[in-house]
Amino acid sequence: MDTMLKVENLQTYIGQYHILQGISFQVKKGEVTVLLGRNGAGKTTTLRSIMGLNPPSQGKIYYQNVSIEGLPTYKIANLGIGYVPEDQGIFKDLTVEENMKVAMKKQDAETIDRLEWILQLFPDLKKFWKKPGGLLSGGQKQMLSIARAYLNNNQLLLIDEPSKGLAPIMVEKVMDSILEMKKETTIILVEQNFMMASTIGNQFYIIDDGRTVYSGRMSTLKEDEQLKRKYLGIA
Amino acid sequence: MELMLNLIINGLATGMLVFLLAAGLTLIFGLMDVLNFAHGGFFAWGAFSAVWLYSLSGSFFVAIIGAIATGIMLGIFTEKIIIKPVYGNHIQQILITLGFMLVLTEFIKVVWGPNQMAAKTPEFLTGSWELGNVILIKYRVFIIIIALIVYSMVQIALKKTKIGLIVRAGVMDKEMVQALGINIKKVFMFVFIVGSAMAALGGALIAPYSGVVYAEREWNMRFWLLSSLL
Repeated sequence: MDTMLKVENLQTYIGQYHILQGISFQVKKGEVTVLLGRNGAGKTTTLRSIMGLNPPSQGKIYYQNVSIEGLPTYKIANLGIGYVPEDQGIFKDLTVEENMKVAMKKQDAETIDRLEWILQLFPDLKKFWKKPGGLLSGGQKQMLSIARAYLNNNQLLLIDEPSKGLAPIMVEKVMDSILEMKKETTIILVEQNFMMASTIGNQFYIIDDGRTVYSGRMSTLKEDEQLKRKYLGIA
Repeated sequence: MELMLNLIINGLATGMLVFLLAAGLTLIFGLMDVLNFAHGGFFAWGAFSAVWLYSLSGSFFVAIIGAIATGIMLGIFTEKIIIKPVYGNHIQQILITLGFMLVLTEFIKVVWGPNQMAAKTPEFLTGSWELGNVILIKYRVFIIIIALIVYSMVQIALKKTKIGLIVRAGVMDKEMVQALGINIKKVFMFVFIVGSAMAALGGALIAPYSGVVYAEREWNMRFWLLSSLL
């Protein structure tokens, strides 16, 4: 299977703090790669470094065999990488429609069809189409954020903790939508909810203290109680 | 009652001039988080270039367009040379833009001399209309109309165009705008130019209103402070 993204020995500082101290992983095309680890391990910073929001000081990032570290964020996004941040990044004073319009790069028939398909996947967005993004519930904001990142036929989606703060019913809805998108898109998922991560994920990498410390197929992690206890604090 | 109406018209005309200055300043601060003390300098350059162009061409329209063009050119230069290196650092922004305002003010003396310049009101805008006992000074009504047109254009641009949507989104979350594939620096540049052009237009309009323009820091600072308070 083709490699979509390859990260080699990524090192990132935020101010004086050395947050990422050696992150390496590969993302295979058509798969969901899950980054796991405790709070503060460096998962979010890894996604932000890939997007160029916290540019790495060392290391390499190859996207479809092209080196992208050091590029400005907008160029990285225009290569076909969509980003759903932890705080969802909704423009709260803009309506749902306007949030989608800001993201829309082209207004061709393909994008319009895609938008229709997205609105079928997230019917709540159609219902609140003219409402400001700030008035949506947490789950609806998450749907809007995912929909926005998915609108432009991005080949790779970086999704940061989509289940955070959501009620179980909303977690299920978000999970179903990601499973649907998985059919067409490669995804890197940062997720603390192990049930969600193990249902969606194909490959996992465990990050601890800014380093990738373990990796494998998700099916093996499900059965490895010792590993789950050691790095994830679950059994 | 008549006095009250006259005072309202006068107040509105002055308020509209301050609006032209304040709108640009607010856009620049809101989106770019830049404290631009040189904004008053664009205003003064707009006033001087309009007075100069009007004396050369005899056309008030040419004077206004020329002042806007001056604002645009100053905006491009300032954003690229002065502001770009100090994004994200308010202290440096205050120091360098305050210094640049002094340079702009002194440079006016180099170009147009240190003396005051008389600013004529175009003939078709001199005089007044009398509505009963209320006297409407033509030039003040003209300022109000122009400012209302600019206000409507800004509103339409912000609410009905893609670039307006991006500017509004950028005020809320710059990072996310970039993560959606938009070059925020180009948007910054565009907003800075629009803000500078509006300040220059304000300067061009105030020149005949005050009858005279002079290159003193106090003149620039007075309008900068007014617009900042607004």
